[in-house]
Amino acid sequence: MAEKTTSQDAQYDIAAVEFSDAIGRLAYAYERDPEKRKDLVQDIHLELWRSFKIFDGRSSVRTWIYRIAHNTGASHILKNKRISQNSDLNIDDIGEIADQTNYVDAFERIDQLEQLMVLIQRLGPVDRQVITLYLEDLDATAIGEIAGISPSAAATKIHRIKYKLAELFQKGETHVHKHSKP
Amino acid sequence: MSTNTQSLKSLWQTLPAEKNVFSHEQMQQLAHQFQVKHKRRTLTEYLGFAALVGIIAYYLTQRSDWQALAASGLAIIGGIIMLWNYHRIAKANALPSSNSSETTLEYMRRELTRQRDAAALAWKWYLLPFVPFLIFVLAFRWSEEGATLTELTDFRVILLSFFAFIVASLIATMFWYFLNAARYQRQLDALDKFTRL
Repeated sequence: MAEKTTSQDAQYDIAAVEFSDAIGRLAYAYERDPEKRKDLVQDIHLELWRSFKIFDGRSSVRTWIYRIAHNTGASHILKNKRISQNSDLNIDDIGEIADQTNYVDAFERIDQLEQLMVLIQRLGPVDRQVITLYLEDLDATAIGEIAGISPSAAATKIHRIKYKLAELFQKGETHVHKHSKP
Repeated sequence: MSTNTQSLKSLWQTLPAEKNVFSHEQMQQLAHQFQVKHKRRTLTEYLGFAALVGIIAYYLTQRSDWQALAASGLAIIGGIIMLWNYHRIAKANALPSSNSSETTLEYMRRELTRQRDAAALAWKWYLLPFVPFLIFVLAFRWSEEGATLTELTDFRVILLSFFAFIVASLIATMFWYFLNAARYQRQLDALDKFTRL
């Protein structure tokens, strides 16, 4: 029992360090409100920690982690019925983004990120999962394995969503529908 | 803005994600908090039931004839059956929500089906247990006081108002459940459409 707990803790430690950023980004796709997003990230970590008690190695650790994380996100949507309407990014985020670029670009990036967030949050849960995994640089095979669809179906989905995102970005629809329901 | 593949990906990667790594103690504490929250919710349900028993007990101090005893007994039995059903269903679905190796599609389908069925069958486990009580009270009051219903004392007005409130709440809740069942079905249809591509 103690051995199992140790293994669970150790697996969680490795996963949490390696996937912390990805989990943090994933939470943006499921929750707009910064406070509720923190809670969601916490819930994902809790589910992840609990899940390693029953992890049997039949799937890869990465697949397992993304499944747990996205299922928790999907559960969050089902529980909360609708996504919060508070803003996605706040003034503190500008500093963080500016660290990666510069302050001139930071404001533009914030605007683009907000548009991207709104577009992703308007997608259905599975579409949302497919596109966020794609943005995390996973290939169609891995996405299909996590979402439960064939690689070709995942590839088709990615293509369609990318096209839709590009179309909406060009039309600037996000500003029009920014406060619409997901 | 350029929306090619790399720019979308690099834009996404700049998201200021919080770096969260929780200690084992924090995880254990969170798990404990989750259990406490669950227990508190259960306690609230029991307190709600206790309040119902309290109201019935008060009613019995006003009247202690066999009709009042029978109506009270039926209300309490209805409440017990409803609580038992509630816990039976909750227990059957108590598996950690996302703590499994299911794919998101499998998980979503299972969750939506479960919630749709629970909502669609709510009448069976939520309303049905109270039907004997409602029928008895209606029949009794009609036979006993049908001719003198216009003579409403303050106590009767309170009692009838309370009764009307209970009935209206049950109907409103049922309506809400049916709306939810329809919403879950629409989401399931959307999932099916998704898998067909």
